[in-house]
Formats: sequence, structure tokens, C-alpha cells
Amino acid sequence: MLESEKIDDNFTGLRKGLLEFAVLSTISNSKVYVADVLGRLSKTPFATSEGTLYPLLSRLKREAYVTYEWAESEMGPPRKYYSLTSQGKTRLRQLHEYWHELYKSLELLGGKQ
Amino acid sequence: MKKVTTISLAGRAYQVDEPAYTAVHSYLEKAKATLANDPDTAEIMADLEQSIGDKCAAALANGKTVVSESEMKNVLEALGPVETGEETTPVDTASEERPTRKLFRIKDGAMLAGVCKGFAVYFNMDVTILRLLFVLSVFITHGAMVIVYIVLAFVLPKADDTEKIAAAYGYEANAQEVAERVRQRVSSQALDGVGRGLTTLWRVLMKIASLVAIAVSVVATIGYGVGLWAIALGRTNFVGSLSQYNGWPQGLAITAAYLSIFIVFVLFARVFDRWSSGRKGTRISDATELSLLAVWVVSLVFAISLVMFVGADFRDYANRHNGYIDFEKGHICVTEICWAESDTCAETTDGDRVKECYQM
Repeated sequence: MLESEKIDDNFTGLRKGLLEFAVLSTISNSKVYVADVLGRLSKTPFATSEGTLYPLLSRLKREAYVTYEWAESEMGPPRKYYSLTSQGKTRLRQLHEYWHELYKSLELLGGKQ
Repeated sequence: MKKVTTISLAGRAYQVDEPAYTAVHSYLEKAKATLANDPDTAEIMADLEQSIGDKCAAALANGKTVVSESEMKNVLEALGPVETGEETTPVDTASEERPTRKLFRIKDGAMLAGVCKGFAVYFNMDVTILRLLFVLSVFITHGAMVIVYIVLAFVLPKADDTEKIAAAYGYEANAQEVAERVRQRVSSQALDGVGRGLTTLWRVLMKIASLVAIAVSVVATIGYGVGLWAIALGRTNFVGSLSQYNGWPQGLAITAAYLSIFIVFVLFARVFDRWSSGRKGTRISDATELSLLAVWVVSLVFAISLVMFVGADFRDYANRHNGYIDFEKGHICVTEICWAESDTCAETTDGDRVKECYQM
């Protein structure tokens, strides 16, 4: 087994916890389709599938961090077109700040060998 | 030819074959169960359905109109299992997925009427253990259990269709799943509690028994080799009228003895090993088994008759030479003139007479 795969296995919980952060970051810049979110995440350690993403997006919508509008597509039925709400932007900023804080704390603790 | 079903996913119709329908149906049911506590279940389900629909449409690109099972499996795999952030409560789903088992007679894998098999499935135990317990109880109750068995064989309903088999095993009456499970056999199914403990113990004991049987057959083979070698070197020569047994009759005798031991223990080893692994194993064909049995019977009869003939001759010989058989030391001793260069020759208390002893 490759070293990176081992890390993959060991840090599942860490990635799960950060998935919301990753998804919010993906949506942050522009309006996106679910397919775009999946596409962008697929190249990162946060690669996920619809089975996980749909429930997560519906929760984020319920918490009013994201919203969507229906957009016509060239093929098939209209699609949901997601974007961040202002609350979502605040949430993302908070997550960023907190992430930095965590990172700095870990550095101060001398975790980096 | 396959039966095709039309399904509606997010308001669009798709034609899928039967196994594909089963797959997508169970996927969506599982998703619904997982999302039971989610306030937006309906919306997420609609999202999922639409996504499945889109992927099916993509799979049907070049002129095909029916989604096959393998295509549906790919679609569902791409979708991934539905997970919410919260921990699901496995206890609930387990009790949901496993309705209580019912007591039936099960003919599949039965020895007699399937009573033991039915009880084994009901208690989720290895059927062999239950059979042993049953045999034990027959002895303890002086045979009363046989009557109980016969009564049960008449009273218990027989699981003769998939629905009843499903009820016996505690599965939902989904024909495909039952077929799948029955194919996998109960032994590979997770046994619970006491059943698992006893089964493990049983398997360990059977493994040990199988290893012992193998060891015995290996030792027998080595002994046979040593024996043949000794005969070839003329180390087992008899004297006097017993010398008719020198050479090939001895070889024949130990071959017969060897075969009658070896075949039994090899077969024991196979049976024990099969029991220890809990699987059916590759049964050797009836023809092979029958011919092995025939060889065994022939060698056994041969070995026994040789022992009787030679034993009688030994007795005669001992009597004629005023000898005796010392069973404790395993010696046959005769008083006779010492024959040339034999190391078993010894002076007796009488002086001129010598005693010759053969190891039995």
C-alpha cells in the first residue's frame, strides 16, 4: 500500500469533518452545479460522491449558508445552481480564520517535525 | 430475453431490466432509511433520482433503450452510498433488516427430515454442532429424543418455497436476496453469541483432529517405508517352518496393514478438515470414494487373515519347539539350536540350549 493511501485511510475522520469547509470553498467564487462541485473536489483529497454531497448541501441550505436557483440546461431537466448566501460567506470566513488559528496552534506546539 | 420495467426518476421514464430495477429500488430504499431523520428527505431523494436518471440517460447514449444491471450498478457506484453527517444508529437498521426467524424444517442441507437444520438456522448455529447435541441427547434420554424428532418431523412445517425459506432465515422475502443467501450458505453467515463460540470451538477441535489424522497417516507411511526397507535387507527373516513368510509375503502383509490404516486416516483427515472449515468442500466423486473403500476392505481382510494365518503358524511353531509367547515383552521364544551368526542367540541357564526370541 502506498504511503499516501495509508494517510487516506487514517485521516478519514479529519476529511469528513472538513468536507463542509471544502464544499463551501468550492462554491465561494461563483454559482455552481453539483457536477462542478464534484468535479473540483474529485482532484483533491475531498473527493466525494452525490450520495454524500446531496444530504450535505441540503443541510447547508437549511442552515442558510447556501442557496440555489433553478437554471435551464441544454440537456434534460432544469438544474440547481448553487451559490453562497451572505451568511455562508461569513461562515466560510470564520472557518478560514479558525483553520489558521488551528494551524498556528499546531505550529506553536512544535508539531511540525 | 429479459423482462423490462419502466421506472420514473424525477418525472422522467426509464426502461430498466429486472435486476437493474431491484438494484435501484434497494438503493433508494436504503437512502430513504438513512435520511429518515432529515427534514429534507423528499428533496434529497428527488436530487438523487434526477442524478440517477441523468447517468442512466448517459449510459443509454448509442441507441440503446434499456438500462442493464451492470450499467445500473456503475451508476449507483458513482453516486456512492447516501451518508448524512450524523452517525446512523446501526441498532435500528439491524433490527429492521433482520426480522425474527421462524422455525421450519429445512431440506436444503438436511440429513433426515431437516429438523436439526431448521433448529440450527433458527438458533443461528452450525448444524453439525446441533446434530451432535441431538445425538448426545438421544443417549442421555435413552432414545426418547428419537420420538421427539419424529414428532417434530411431522409437526414442523417444511420450508419449501422461497418465502418460507426467507422466514426461516429471517430475511425479507426478496427472492433475489434469498437466492443469494442460500447460495452463500448459512456457514458463511455471521453466527451470533453462543452459536459463534461453539462453532469456533468445534472448528478448532476438528482442525486438531484433522492434523492428528494427517500425522497418523504420515507416521504410517514412514513406518511402511522402514518396514519395506527392513524386509529388503532381510532383517526380518524367520527361521524354521516360519521362513515361508520371509520376503514378499512380509511385504504383502505390511502393505495390506499400511493401506488399511492409511486410507482410513486420510479419509478422516478430509472429513475433519471439511468440518473444521465449515464449507462443503470439494467432494471426491462417488467412484473414487467407492474404489478407495474397496481397496480398504480388501487390504483389511487381507491383513486380518494374514495375521490369523501367521499367528496360528507362530503358535504351532512355538508349541513344537517347546517355546512360549511372552505378550508382555512382545516376544515369541522357542528353544532351538542357535543358527549361525544370529545376535539373538543367547545361552540359557541349561547351558547348551539356546533361546531364540522374535519380536512380535
